[in-house]
Amino acid sequence: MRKLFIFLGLAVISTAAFVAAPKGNTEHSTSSITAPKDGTAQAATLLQDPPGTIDGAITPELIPDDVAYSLFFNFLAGRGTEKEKNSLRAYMQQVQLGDIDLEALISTSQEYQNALNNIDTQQSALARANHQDLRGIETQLNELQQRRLVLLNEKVQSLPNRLGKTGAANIQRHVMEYIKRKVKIIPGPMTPEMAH
Amino acid sequence: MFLNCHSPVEKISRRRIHSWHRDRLCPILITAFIVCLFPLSTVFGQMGQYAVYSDTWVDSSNPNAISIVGCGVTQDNQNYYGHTYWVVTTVTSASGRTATSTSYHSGSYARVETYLPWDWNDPGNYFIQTRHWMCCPYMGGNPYTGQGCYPTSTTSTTEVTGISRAQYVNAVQYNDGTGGFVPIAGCNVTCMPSSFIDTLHCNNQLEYRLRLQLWISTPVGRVCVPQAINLNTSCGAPLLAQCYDGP
Repeated sequence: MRKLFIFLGLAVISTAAFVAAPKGNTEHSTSSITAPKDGTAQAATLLQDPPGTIDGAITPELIPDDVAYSLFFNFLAGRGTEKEKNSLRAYMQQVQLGDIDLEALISTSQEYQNALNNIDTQQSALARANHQDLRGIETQLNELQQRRLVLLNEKVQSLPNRLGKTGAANIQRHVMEYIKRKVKIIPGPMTPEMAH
Repeated sequence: MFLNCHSPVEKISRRRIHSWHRDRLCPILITAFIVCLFPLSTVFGQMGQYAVYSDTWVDSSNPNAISIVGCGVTQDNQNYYGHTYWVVTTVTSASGRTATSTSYHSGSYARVETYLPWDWNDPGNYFIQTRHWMCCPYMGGNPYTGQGCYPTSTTSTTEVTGISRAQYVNAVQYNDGTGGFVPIAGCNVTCMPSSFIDTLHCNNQLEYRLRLQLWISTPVGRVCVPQAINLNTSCGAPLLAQCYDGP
């Protein structure tokens, strides 16, 4: 009986400590940022990444291709005005993609984003309606995820036709060697299983 | 309480306490264990994952309004949990000038682009930092008030800028009031054309141009930013700061 009490006591204490502990979102000051030359305050504070974060700057090979391509297409999409396109043109020149047919690339990206938005809308509605039991709709959610991947693959595979083989190869190089190194993948917070 | 050296009164008392423990306290504690500990230890799980990044470039599309652009993005393609995301991106110049922008809120893709005007007197490293905020309803986050929301990660990048300064001298005059300029002897910097044409301003004096052009440092070397050019005129003698690359 004593052992049971000791065990229960320790268990409750450790549980309380676990619940009270921050879950990877603690703010930390860092000395890696230097003050501006003129002494004005540069109040930049870096947050410590949550445990389990994948940092593409360190391990780019762990950033999935679909994540990197999706980020790139979304970055390009939604730039309708001439000012936005000119700014994007400046970006493309600086990342050695100045020869790419920008209109064709924006068009591809816009198609991707529009179709993605449709899938996202369906997913949101599904998740909202079943938020108490996401496991019950696991199959549908997996299907939506599969549609996302198919959509992305279609758009990536269409690039040689739209941009030419060299253009598509340059985009691939940019996504693999440039975008991936800037990306971090952050694990979501922990939650009771009812949320799954 | 758990030592063996107890008085008889204490022993009786302990027996009563033990009895009470057995009859009342144990079920309470066991229930508490089942209600609190068991679910916490077994049903905690990770709510998906999301991607974040920061990027930067120089927007020289308008030569009169050159800007250093900082871009911050959060993307969650499998947001089953009603998370809300937004990003706050700050661009800080070498001298400490800053510009900050906050994105819209989104459950799938949040992006903001922050523009800090380029200043020819403020070259050097431009620091771009993005704070990636999230709200999780299962953790009490309210995206409308911001209460319970928090920055989960920071991404940053640096735009290393510099200026090529090159001295040119007028070599030929044309009938339309313009003249051709060529670099002075020995001038060799990263960003410089072999010649250019500009309107002449000095009457009967040798005319010079100090040509500045912005460049950025990239993994493949320095990239000259087109249109990010500044011309300074001098008559009779060249301006100081002849030919060099630097911040």
